[in-house]
Amino acid sequence: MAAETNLSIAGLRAGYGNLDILNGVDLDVPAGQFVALMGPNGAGKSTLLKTLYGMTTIKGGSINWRGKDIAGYRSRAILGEGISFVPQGRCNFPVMTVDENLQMAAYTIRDEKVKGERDYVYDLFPILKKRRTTLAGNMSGGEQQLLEVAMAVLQRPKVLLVDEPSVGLSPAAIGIVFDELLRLHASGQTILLVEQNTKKAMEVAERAVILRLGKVIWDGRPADITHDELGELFLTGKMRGEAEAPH
Amino acid sequence: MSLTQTSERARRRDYRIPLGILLFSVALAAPFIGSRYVVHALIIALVFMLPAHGLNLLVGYTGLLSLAQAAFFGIGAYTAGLLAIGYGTPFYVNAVVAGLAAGAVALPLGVPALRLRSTSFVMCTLGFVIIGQAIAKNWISVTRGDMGLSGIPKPYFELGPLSFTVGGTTGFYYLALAIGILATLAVFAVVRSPAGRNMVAIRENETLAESLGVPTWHYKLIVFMLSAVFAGVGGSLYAHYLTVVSPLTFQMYYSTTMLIIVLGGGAGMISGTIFGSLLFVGLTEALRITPELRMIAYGLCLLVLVFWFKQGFAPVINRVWNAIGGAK
Repeated sequence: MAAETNLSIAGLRAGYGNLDILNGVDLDVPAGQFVALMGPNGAGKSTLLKTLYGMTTIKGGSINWRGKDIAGYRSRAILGEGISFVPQGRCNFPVMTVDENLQMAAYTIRDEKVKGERDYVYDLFPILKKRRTTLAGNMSGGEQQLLEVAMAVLQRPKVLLVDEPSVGLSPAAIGIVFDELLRLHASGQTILLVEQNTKKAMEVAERAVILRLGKVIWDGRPADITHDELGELFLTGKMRGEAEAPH
Repeated sequence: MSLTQTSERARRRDYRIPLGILLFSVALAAPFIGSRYVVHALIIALVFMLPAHGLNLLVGYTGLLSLAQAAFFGIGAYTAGLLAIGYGTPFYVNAVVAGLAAGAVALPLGVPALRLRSTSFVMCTLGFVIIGQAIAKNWISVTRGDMGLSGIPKPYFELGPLSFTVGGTTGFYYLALAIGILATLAVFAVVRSPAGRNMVAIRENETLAESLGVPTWHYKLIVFMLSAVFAGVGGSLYAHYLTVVSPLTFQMYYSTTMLIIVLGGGAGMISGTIFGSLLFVGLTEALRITPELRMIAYGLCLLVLVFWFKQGFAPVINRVWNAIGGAK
């Protein structure tokens, strides 16, 4: 198991300026796993993704990535290490076409390879291929979310960090986005997903990690926890009949 | 459906090329059609089009609002004036050195200024114009202070055995037109290149561009310098045309005029900058004979703009252009 582990986070403390959000996160993610990070508001789910992508102030702990401590690396360097991030909310270039957006996403890829990489992404997301000359801003929220995932996937990341892809989407669009994430995972993609829609997240992920107040309080298979127990954990930080989890 | 589209397109002729030739012919024939006064107004419009093109790259394409353009315009004007008076160098040397000098000064100014965001950046660029004017006024041994530089020779060319001076208004008009066309082509090449797309990406979402690996900071600095080069070349034309340069070349009024050209014409659109220069500089210059009417016309233009053309005039121009091209 340890040999397979790609990403190993130990005692990670991080936040924004003087504000600490993560208070010692420990998490190992083996290659190829689909992990859903869940928890109440302010638990530090998004902050954990941003920290992995070098967008917060790290106060302590380590992020071991394939034998290298990448804590404190800048985003561009982390991208170069094979970790891609799909931020929360709309993050494409609305006045550019789908094709141009993908070309922007291919910024770090050498010119002669760009076309091949774009074809690869179009094969993965046929919906986008049909829309290649459409301005991103004129597409539906779901299509834009897919484009954003595609922009991250184009970098051929070893780990894909996805922050709340369901925000602002219709249930049908959410279904499409999650189906695509599942397909990516089936092709071997390691995914770290933050999601408020716990029902959906529990359906797709093979592992659920629950954060509360900046720490991991539960880690296991989604099948091992009921929806009620999850709610209880979110609210109180402990399972029914269990002593309160130490903070 | 595709069938009807094709027949539709066949019926609607593309008149863009004939119209383009017509406009170009009018531009070429202007000195013979218009009075000397109109030609003068066109020259001033062409002179201001250069810094406006540079500013359009900065404001329209990269999304950085700058008021520093008059400072670089002034640096270009003084550089060209000093070279022409002191060394009698040919015009093209003066223009190139003026552009390079403005670009070079933009480097140390841009490094701290571009660390600032939004309004702070605008205020900082405003400071450059004020500092520029103060230097022009007080560095008397070089700039002759408030007296300014006078007697700047008319543009002089030396091409192999051939040497000539562009003396008259008509000659200067063609010189300004040639430089204006070259500058327009240069802007076109920049915005159509991958670099142009990266600039738009920075304007649209700087954080995302950065996270995709675009070196946004370097891009902003280079575009800031490039816009200064355009302003510097414009300044050299200005100096050689008026033959006088004073500290008033560094004035906020020029910076705002350049900004009005870009925003009023249509930010991020080349046709907008060209049209804006003709409207906001050419027209107001032409109306200088009736000062009251001039300010009223200027004010009306701005009113029409803010009420009916919030994106500037370029979207309308582009629509008309496409309609002429046969698009529905």
